[in-house]
Amino acid sequence: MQKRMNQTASRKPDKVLVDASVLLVDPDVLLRIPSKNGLAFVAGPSLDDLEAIANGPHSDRDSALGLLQRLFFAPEVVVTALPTGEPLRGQDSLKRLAYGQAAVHLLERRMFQLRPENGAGLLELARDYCMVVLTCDPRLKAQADAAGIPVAAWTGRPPAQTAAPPRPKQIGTQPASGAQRPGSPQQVRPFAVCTKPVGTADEAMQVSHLPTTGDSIHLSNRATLRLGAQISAGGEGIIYEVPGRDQVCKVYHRDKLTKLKKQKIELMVSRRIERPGICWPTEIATNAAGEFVGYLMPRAHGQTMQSTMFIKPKLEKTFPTWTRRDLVNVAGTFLNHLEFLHRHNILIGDINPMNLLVTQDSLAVWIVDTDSFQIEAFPCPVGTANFTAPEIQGLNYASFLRTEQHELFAVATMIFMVLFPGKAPYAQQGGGSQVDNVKSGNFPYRFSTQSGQSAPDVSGEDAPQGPWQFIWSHLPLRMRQAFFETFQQGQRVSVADWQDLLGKYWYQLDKGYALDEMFPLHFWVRDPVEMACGKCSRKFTNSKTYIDKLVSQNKSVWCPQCQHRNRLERLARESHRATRETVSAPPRASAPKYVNTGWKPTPLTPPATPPRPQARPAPTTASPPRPASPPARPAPRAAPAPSSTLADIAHIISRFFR
Amino acid sequence: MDEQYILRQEDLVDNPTARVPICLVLDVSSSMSGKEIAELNEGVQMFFNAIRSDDVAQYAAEIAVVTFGATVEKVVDFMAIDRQAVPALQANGATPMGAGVELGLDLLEARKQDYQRAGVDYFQPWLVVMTDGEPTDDIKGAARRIQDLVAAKKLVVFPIGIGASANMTTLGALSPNRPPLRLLGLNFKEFFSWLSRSVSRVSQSTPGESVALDVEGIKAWSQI
Repeated sequence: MQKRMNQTASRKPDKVLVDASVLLVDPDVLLRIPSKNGLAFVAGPSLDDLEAIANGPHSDRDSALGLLQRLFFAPEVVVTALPTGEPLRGQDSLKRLAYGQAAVHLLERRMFQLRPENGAGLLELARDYCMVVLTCDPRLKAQADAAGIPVAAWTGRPPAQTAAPPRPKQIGTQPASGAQRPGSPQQVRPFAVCTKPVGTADEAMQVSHLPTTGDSIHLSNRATLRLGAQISAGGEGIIYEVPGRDQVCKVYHRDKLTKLKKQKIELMVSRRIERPGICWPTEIATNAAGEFVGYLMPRAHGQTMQSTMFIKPKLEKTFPTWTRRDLVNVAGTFLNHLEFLHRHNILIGDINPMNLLVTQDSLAVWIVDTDSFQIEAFPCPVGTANFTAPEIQGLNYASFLRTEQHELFAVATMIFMVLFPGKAPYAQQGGGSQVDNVKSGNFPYRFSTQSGQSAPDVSGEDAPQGPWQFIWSHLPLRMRQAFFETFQQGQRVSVADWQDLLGKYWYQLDKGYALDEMFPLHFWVRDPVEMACGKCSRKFTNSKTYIDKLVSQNKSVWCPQCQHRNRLERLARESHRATRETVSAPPRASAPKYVNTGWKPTPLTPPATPPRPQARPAPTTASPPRPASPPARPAPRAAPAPSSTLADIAHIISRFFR
Repeated sequence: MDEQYILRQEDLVDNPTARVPICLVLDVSSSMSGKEIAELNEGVQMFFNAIRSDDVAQYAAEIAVVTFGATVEKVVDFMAIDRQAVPALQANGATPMGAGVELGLDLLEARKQDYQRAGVDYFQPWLVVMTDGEPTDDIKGAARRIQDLVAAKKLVVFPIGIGASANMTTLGALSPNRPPLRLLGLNFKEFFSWLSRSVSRVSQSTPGESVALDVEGIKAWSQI
């Protein structure tokens, strides 16, 4: 084991802070450190990391769990200073645990300077107490080097697999009703990878009779089943219950029955993809005459993501107990399905919230409309505008094969829309249609590629109104970075990286490091202080720096609810003003018979001067919202209209003098 | 500030669904009195109910109603559909279609500005114009505006003629890309049913390029 160790025993022993990555592969390092004149320390954040692994499906979960149990149940003594004599700082706590023949010190801190995830907490402790960090995570080593903290790379006993950093993987694993664990070895042969879509022209197939409720369908093994009630009908076909089985049957509409469709379903049926949560065709269904009419698949459970999760009042009504952790669970389960499909060389293609079903159990996500998946030379023939990568916008989806890059754009969009329930990533003030927005590549949420730079890369002033920019500010930096890279810089983030990011976000939510509020009304604040609202007197927290600034300018400070209400009122006023300018133009010269409209503008109370900036928070790391600037950009095509009073007068006059 | 107005802003901010704004511009001149206006009323109510009962469309579609007859009126303004009540329309007066269309276009433009101010996604707006006769005002300005918008792909327009006396040539001026359609008899319900299905399709998966309208379905309510 390489370590920077002093050889002279008379010098003070090295304080070695062992991180989770080493503890996982070689916990007995804790026994070896004292024998080399060192003191072994373990930091609180490392235990959090271990807890994460123990709770997830990671292959090391058992080792992590065992280690945690040893540490938690070890005899412990609370001490008030380090064994070297140094005092503890602030409200840090230290316990000496018995670990085998040796002693390990557990160092914990309640309030970190920065968010403690991703090694930041560990490094902070190492710096404060002049410790050497022992790790086998190359990322942590790089961070420590950059911060000037002494670090030793563990290269001892080679582990079973490569010394990759323990990634707290996806949180949600199996869907509730599933029996099969994902990650258990799949015997199914992956599909071939093709580069060009099927070249042959498609031909309609003859079908004499389309089975419906009460009719029977025939399977390849001569079995017959009776179709039950209709469950749903779409553009492609109708889905029927199959009584007595947890399966359903999709019967295509007459004009959708083609040779290529049949070939595609036959290819799908030839591989037994049996993963709970994916409605994969299991058998071809034919009518009594033996003609192809559709297929059998497992029954899905739940309702579409679009209709349950993507509208705030519906989300609150359908899943009232859900928190952000449930959103992360949904996204994580979806990613697990994707990982599985990609491993078999299947691309979903048309990822959209109408094809994903969710239930109360946020760890269960069902994917439907699987017959549109891209498999071998069969393209995914449909798409959804705002999930389509800019480079393939406007194309006929059936004319080309999508790549993993195209898929990853849709994946990032879906994850964004789950975490920002229903809000598309490119929706912004002054935006156009979804297609225009995606093609423009302007991602509206505030981000800086380099901290310390005065101006951010994206200012965030065009972010849409609502809780969306607050949600953004509460996301971990690495996650914001991943979205920024995808939507502003045209890069793509892999499924594995998304799983990693979501896993870390889950913990932070669980530990309270990140705000677990579905629709926050305020930005993340680094230096919170509590105070009473200047308008409604309710208690709330805000940034001390910001409050001090406002107070020094003699402005009153309002709580998030009052600020939100004020914003809505401002929007309403601007809308009113703009609508009257656009719509109440005087009678046009081209319409001599124009009669008084009978439509009057709603009487307007003279706008009170909007209370000056006290309504707008501007904490150090988040974006200042737009100032109350003059309304809409597109000018009405006529000359600027007169004020409301003049228009009223004009109408009244025209009525009398016609 | 009117509380209703504030609530409408909250709808814009709280509902992130991409919107489809639709303006119905309807002829309520005296020639529509009797059976025509009764059927039209039923059709409009049916349209609203069909949208309300569609899981996705109820949050995506935003409908305004303008009538032209004795007066040109904004009968129902754009807002969340669960806040809207559609009154029964009365038939009376002349046919100032030009002014009606202009008001409809103005309302669509103002609503688009609302979307842009709030940062809400939207699809290009729809204008449905229905008349049973000859316009009594000048429609040149309206026609020009429509042509410019359609050419820039910023508007989808459905001019519909009702009954035998509808002047299809004039309606043609409002329909740059396809010939105007004549309603089959008084099949308002079929038309509005088709319209509501078309609205649902806008936000669903498509084979690419623009959303193809259900041309087959048009046959259910129009004479070719």
